[in-house]
Amino acid sequence: MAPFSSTAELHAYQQALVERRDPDRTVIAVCYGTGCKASGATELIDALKKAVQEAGCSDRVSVMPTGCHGFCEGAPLVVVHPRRILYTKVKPRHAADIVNKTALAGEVIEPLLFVDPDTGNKVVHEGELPFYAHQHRLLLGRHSTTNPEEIDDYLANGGYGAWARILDEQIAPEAIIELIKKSGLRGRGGGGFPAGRKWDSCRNAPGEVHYVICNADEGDPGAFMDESVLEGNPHSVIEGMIIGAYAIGFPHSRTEGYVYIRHEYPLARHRLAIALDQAREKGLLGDNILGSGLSFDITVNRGGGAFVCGESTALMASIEGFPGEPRAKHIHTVVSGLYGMPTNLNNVETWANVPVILNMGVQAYRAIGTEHSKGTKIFSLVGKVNNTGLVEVPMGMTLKDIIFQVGGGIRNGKRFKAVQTGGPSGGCIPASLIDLPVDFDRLDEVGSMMGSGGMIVMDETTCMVEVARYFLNFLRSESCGKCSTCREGIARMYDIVEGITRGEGKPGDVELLEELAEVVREASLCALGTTAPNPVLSTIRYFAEEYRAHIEEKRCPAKQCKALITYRIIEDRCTGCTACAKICPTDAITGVKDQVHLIHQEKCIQCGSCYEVCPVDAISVE
Amino acid sequence: MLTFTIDGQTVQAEEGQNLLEVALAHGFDIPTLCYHPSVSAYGACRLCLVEVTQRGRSRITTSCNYPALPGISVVTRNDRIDRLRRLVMELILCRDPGNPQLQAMADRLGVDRTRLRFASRQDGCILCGLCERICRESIGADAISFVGRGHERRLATPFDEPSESCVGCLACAMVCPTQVIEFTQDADTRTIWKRTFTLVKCKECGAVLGTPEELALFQRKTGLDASYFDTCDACRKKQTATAFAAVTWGGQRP
Amino acid sequence: MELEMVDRIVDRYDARSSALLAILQDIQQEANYLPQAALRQVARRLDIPLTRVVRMATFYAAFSLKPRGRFVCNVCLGTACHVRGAGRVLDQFQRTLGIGVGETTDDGLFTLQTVNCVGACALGPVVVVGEQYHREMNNRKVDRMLKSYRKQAGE
Repeated sequence: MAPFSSTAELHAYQQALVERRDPDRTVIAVCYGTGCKASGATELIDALKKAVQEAGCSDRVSVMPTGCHGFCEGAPLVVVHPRRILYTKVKPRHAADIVNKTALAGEVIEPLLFVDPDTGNKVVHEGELPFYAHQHRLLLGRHSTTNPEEIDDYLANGGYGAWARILDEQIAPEAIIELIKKSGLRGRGGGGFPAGRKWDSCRNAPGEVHYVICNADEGDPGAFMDESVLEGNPHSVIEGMIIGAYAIGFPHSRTEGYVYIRHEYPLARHRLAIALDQAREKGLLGDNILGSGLSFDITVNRGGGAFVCGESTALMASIEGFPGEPRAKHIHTVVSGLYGMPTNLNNVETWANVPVILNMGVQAYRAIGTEHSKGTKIFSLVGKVNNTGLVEVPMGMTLKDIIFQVGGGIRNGKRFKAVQTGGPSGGCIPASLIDLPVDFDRLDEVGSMMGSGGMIVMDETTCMVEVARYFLNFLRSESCGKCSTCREGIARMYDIVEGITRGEGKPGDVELLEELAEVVREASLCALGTTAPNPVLSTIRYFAEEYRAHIEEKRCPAKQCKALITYRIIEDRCTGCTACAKICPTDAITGVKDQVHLIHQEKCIQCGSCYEVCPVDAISVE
Repeated sequence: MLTFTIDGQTVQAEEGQNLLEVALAHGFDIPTLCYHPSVSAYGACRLCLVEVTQRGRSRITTSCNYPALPGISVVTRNDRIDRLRRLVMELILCRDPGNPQLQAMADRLGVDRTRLRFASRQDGCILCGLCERICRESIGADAISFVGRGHERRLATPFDEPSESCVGCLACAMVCPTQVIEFTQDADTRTIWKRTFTLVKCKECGAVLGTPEELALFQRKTGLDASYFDTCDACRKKQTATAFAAVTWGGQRP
Repeated sequence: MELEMVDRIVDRYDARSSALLAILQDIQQEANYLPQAALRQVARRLDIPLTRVVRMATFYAAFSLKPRGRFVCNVCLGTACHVRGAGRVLDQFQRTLGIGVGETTDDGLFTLQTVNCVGACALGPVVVVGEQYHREMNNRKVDRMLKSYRKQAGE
């Protein structure tokens, strides 16, 4: 097929696609994001395809791998369309039943249904799952009905329609920028800078080429929103970037696009590469796109495992073939960025929002969210929460609703203690602030930040001093090491906090941490350094008592800090099964079978193995 | 030319100059350990903090990589800057509390000791990068670079082996603010970065001229005749004077 | 080490120095690590100083300058994995294999590495070996997993 040379050809092709498609066709959609893939979705897809073949129904039933649906807790997920019957934790051995009973006979397989733990009711249809019911899935909504490796799926659902409409209605680039400004879209990568204003500054900066970059170097540990969007709907990001290139560089400049993607995301990279090839084949990337006069293509650059490359100047240095060392931004990257040219960088989720905004209209988009944070936000809801997964909610939803309504509360009946947002630049928000509406500004106010959208839920068994130690350890190796304040400051803060977790804390340590936090924040060059103290400061602010217990009483209230805990066997409960003695790596546990065992404290290294294996909960931690 | 103020005093600067060089040229005292006028500013030590006010907004920034801009006002010292500089010094001091050059800077800033645990590697290197920049930008040898990142960053030759591109010029050792780049030299050889060079001597007086690699590099860069590097400056002057005398006075001094 | 392999990869990027990161990634993909000779050849072919190549290779955590084992075990230390006990899982690897992070067992079978989040946060603690993801790891599963890889190697 020849590439489209006009929007008319695109519309005709889309029309034909829609006419050819049977909306009532039975499609077995298998979630094939990284989480489900890691849970055996590959084998499941093979088994389903084989079952379809064996049943001889490939004319009526198809198997479709899709991007992440979000409900990772139920991985691997299967949705049988058109009725959207949802099965969770599906194994390859269920394949034949799903094809023969559900796909062909319309029968629901009871044992594969998700059981709502609150009500005990079985959930049959995808939309009835409480996890989805409270979300507002503008970006993720299509994931369970779209094969991300087929551009036709995107086109049949009106894909590239926002871009085509701009051309059909001859909307000027400046007018697009105005629309994005009016929509209130703020960058989803961390800082929340208004996207329209950034585009405007970049457009107005002189240069023979204007670069448009998608930051897919999602470095916050515990966050995988951008990964999932690229895996599930890569064309939405490409369409957003094409519109961005038009708004920023057309017609006065040449435009070039880059996606800088994490090395740790092989599947997202793979899907993006396929999507780019298909977009080129269809003439949606390349010279004179759809006869518009805009020439634009996108190059993919792979990161090398460096968190700091999420910082815009470091990312640009990396694309140029240098170490990701940030530089001073006294001249902004929109004026002088990649190769010294005007460069507009937004992250994956921001770009994916662009076609959504233009399709639904600015007014409808503005109706979602809070006064200064419009639209939805995707979070990766993980940690000690029941429904781990990817959630998309309107800005302004409270932490409580996200964690308890969508997330289904805390695992194993434990008590909610804190939630960490914003990754290593963010902070820990305590249970007392659970009614906080989540948007850019409110998170800043409480000493955390939105960041890219990681939301790590912590319960009573999470030690907040240890969490601070964790982030400092992360940052001391992820700092590029250029600024003495960031490099030495974080390393010395780590020394102090690590000492506290080992029971070597001294009076005055907290005050010294606060002093160091100030100099790291004030005197470091880039955002990695200036925000690095946040995890420490927020835990000191909200969990001072825990620091005090570690320092003064040499006690870890969450019973996590190895140096401050002792494992003992509860004699009344021990059945002498020998499981603990067998697993103990240091032979610290002795005992005769069927008799009470004993932990020899001098040999115990607090690895927790015995606690993990004991079938009768006869090991205590003090 | 553009105009702005430093501590209330109006100063003029060329476009492209940074605040630190303008301030130093006007006699203001700003501490720094990673700045040298012959190489580009890097901003590693963070001691040259100043407060810049632009359009009513103030911020603390390093002065070495902040451009001189019209109309800004710069404050080189106040309580906050002093306190932050002392904290920066404490952090730098951790890298080698016994280093005399670091102690001298600490004394100047009013820091008598660091309250922090010392760094695991205490070799006196504060990772200012001056050696690396002088080697790359001024000499053009590119013999050393940073390796690793974060708290494990250090300065080394590739693979910690004697560097093939090192010319033994000693510029790195001379520019090092903590004087910790080791080299040895005897009558015939010079050793630096684990590599030993033979020394070329003046054909006239036997004074050390440098390493053959160094002289070859300078010859390439300057385009001078190879014979220019046969003698030392003093002997060359003497030769020139003799030749000059021969031409002017026929070899007879008046 | 075949320098032709390096040449082939460099040519793939038209010997552009801006492609240095990608070139090093491709070399590691083929050689399992970055041999010194390869880095020297890259510097020659791109006509850039060796120091720049070494700096890149040591700045990015994805690279190893030492040969790695047949099974590279990446223990995810993302926050989600961390709060669910990834630290204990890492300890167990170190104890069982008798090596530290970044090291390889004497028999050349296992290399232990850590990674800051592989984006499978719902399944933590996660360990990735080659392309295989292992979910909800604990001390027992570590031992079982290593045994099965040893068995696989013996076959």
